[in-house]
Amino acid sequence: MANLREVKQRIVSVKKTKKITSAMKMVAASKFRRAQERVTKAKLYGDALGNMINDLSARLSPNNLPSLLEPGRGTKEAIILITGDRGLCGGFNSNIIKKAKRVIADKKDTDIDLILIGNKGNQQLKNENATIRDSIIGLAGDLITESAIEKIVAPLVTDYINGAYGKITLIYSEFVSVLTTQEVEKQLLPFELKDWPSETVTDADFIYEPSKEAVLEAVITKLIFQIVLQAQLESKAAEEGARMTAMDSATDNASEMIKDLTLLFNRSRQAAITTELTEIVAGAASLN
Amino acid sequence: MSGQIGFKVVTPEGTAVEKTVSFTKLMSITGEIGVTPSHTPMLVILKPGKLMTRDINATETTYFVPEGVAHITKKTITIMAPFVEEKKTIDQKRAEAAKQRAEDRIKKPKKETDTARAKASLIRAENRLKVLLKD
Repeated sequence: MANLREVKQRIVSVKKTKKITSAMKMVAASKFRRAQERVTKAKLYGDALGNMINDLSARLSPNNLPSLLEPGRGTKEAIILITGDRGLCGGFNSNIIKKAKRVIADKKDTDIDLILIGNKGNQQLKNENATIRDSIIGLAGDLITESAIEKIVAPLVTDYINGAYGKITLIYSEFVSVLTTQEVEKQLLPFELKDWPSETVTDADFIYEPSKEAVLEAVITKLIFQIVLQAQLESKAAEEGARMTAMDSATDNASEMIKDLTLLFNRSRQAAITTELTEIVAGAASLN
Repeated sequence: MSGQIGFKVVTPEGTAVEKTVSFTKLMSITGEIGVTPSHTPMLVILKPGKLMTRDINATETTYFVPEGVAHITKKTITIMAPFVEEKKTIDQKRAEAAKQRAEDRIKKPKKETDTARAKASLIRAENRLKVLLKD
């Protein structure tokens, strides 16, 4: 039978772990709620921009287009990868990193520049066959703003226009529900317009101020910032959701373990008492 | 003037303003544009500055936008901007402090100063003050 004191110590330590995991679960839950709110708000903005672009694609004739709609002239490709900063969130980080490694392996003949957002991606993609152009750690909560994203993405867009890249891709975890996330690979540039070129082009009744090229470039650039911002927000929501589930099941497991250990403790104690009793009875019997 | 048009300002934090108006004045990067209902569809890049709306009761409201894009269709005006401030909520002291800060940064650039950014924030601050002080 197990040593009583050892079992007792284990119960104490598991109880402490349980306290920590349940606290982490609550923290994750509140962060998750906030992240989800922001995703909903950001979607409004994204949808308004999307409407604008859809309205455009119906009237856009394929001349004088900004270079953001044309295939890039460069041979290199850039990949923006969004991962979490911290662990203890189940398979969240490993899934997205696995996906990224697969994408990089598929493009082994291409020069790839990586832009890594999130600590986990930075730790685990150091040794891939790619150049790390930029790494961003600690972009979370209120720090996720349009200007923060702009700082990361704007240089890439400029380089794309100047012919450094042929393609820019974004890899992130899309939030589906608390239990499920989807790893998504999305092409940012060249920008793909939905249903375009459309067959009926009516360019006449539309004014671009100052010019078509400039306006389109500004709108598409804005939309790209917005896509990355939304991806970062979704990824955070997914991360906190995953952490919430992971910590919930960790708390459940701890309760289960405490139950088993308490049973073991009681059994061992009973066994010890029985042994002692037997010894006393045997001792008394030997005196007679 | 008859007719009304849906007016909306959307920021990354959600829809900030939503109402129906009969006239809107925007600052495009090439100049001022007035929009009445049934205007030709238009896409306009905005510069930092004033945004004025007049509703059916001829009440005028003035806003400040730091930059943005306006999408005008026959029935709606949608403005996409990083943020929007109503004139009466602009804090003059804060706006002046922001201007001062930007000026200092341009005059005495430190190693980590992003000059282009500082210049952009100076223009923004100046225009915000302009919205506040001029009519």
